[in-house]
Amino acid sequence: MELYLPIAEMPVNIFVILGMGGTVGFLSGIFGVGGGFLLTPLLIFYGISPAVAVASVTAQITASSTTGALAYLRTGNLDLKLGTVLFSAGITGSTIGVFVFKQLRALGQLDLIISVSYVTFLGAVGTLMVMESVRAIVKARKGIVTTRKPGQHNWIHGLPLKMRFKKSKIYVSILPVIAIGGSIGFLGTVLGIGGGFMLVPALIYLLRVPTAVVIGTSLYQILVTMGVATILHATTNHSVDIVLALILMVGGTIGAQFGAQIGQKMKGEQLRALLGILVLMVGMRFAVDLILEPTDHYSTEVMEVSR
Amino acid sequence: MILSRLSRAIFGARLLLWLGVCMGGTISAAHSERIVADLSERVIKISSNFTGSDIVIFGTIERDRATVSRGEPYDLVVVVRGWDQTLVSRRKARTFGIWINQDRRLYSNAPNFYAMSTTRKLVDIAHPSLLAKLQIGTRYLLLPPTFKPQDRFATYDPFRVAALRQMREKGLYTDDPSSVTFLSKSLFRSTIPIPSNVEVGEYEVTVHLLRGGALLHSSTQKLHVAKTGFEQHAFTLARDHEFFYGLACVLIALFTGWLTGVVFRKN
Repeated sequence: MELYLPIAEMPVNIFVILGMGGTVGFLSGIFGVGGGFLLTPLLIFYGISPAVAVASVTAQITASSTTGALAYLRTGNLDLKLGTVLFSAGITGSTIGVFVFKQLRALGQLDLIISVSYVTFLGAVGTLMVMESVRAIVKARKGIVTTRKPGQHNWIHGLPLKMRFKKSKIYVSILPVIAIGGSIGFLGTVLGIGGGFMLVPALIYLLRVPTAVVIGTSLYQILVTMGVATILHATTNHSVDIVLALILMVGGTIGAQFGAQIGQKMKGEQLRALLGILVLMVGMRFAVDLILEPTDHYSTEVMEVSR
Repeated sequence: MILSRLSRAIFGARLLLWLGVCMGGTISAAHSERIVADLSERVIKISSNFTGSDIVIFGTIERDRATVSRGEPYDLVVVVRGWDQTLVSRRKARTFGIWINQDRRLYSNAPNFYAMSTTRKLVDIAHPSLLAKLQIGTRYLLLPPTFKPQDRFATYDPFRVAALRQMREKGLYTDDPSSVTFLSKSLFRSTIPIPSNVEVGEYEVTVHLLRGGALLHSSTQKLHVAKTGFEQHAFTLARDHEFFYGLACVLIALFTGWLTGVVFRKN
């Protein structure tokens, strides 16, 4: 069934888009991540312009992270204070991101930046996740139990301007928190991803936030940052397609429910290994496109008229 | 501008006709043929199930008594054209092992939509210089204002060729020779498909009448493409009240997210 998208100005097959949203929702339900890093590329491969794809996925991530954040808020596994500091920085990052996005679009290098960033971040995060989880799986096989030792500090704990986050049981400098929130906000806006797959490891490994609190807090930060990014995309680039976003929301939420049931039956390190492989594969897909000679060396685009 | 050109053409035709009558028909009135044409639809409405549409252009060639019928056949060219915009054509080149957009060229006179249908092949209808002047045929689009058909090789431009090819692939530029049909000696009709990726706005449908390589008359009608219902409201809201549109999107997202939580909590 064809449905005309009012902002993308093209008809799409509603079942294909529902299927994409559902599949990505299913995977994100299994792994507990937003899945924007999968959904945006899929929409671009389908033929929706990168600008509309990025902006509409931003709205979809807002919806999916609302569901998640509310669930974690009910069980008490959400650090509101840490999340608020993170998103204050995140909003600043988003604002810069939207303007950079607009400039890149005008320069004709948006596609390149999106591709290079995907290769860099997905490659790096994917490799780290696979390495870490393989190590964990090997340790579990050997029967070694690792516990967090008290007083084990890294260089981050030596920074000034310390702040106490009770729920996360950490006493840490506010500077790395701002840096993490800001860069996730910036990248999320430019790349159309929530950034959960980068934020979760950053909170666990850099700030030593307990795993139980991490996902809820990261969902809360993503919810606010992506909400603001949606408004910024709508005002600066006029590229949020609400019809597209709604189809993705419906597909995504249904898929996520089935995914979550499977995710609960799997072990944490296995999940992280699989997610790492998935992240790496998406990164490789972009790398291949950059390195192989394109079939068409030319691309045509309508020059934006400033209204 | 086109209107003024048109009125000038009509004025010129009338003047010649008047001269022809005054001189007792000694000058064969070359411009005494007129086209009367209309469209099957003046407005194409885009709603949620829009997947493209066809418009039918029909009309008749009117001749006055003084017109001497000659052996050469009439040629008709129907052009549906949008408004001019600037196209950027970019070429990728390998830099540090990856393919990056490097050179670019701009074409400021590129119509956003162009569809042409004719009675026969363009080469048989008129000389390239006239076709270029009237912008008949996609291969005469995106040309510099100083273009002369004789130095086609001098102005060969791979960026322009690529831009034209990609616009054709998108279905935004089409040439359809021999799709204008004569129902009788003077009655004609033509069907032009309008693709689903057409933009909202005002289009011009021009019918050119030619014979023996010379333009006899042109007639232009307006065609509107407009979104209706929800599509129109969403589009106008997103363009004119962007902040409220963005806010509405976020509220819808929050509501959907909350609703999902409520619906699936019981399960």
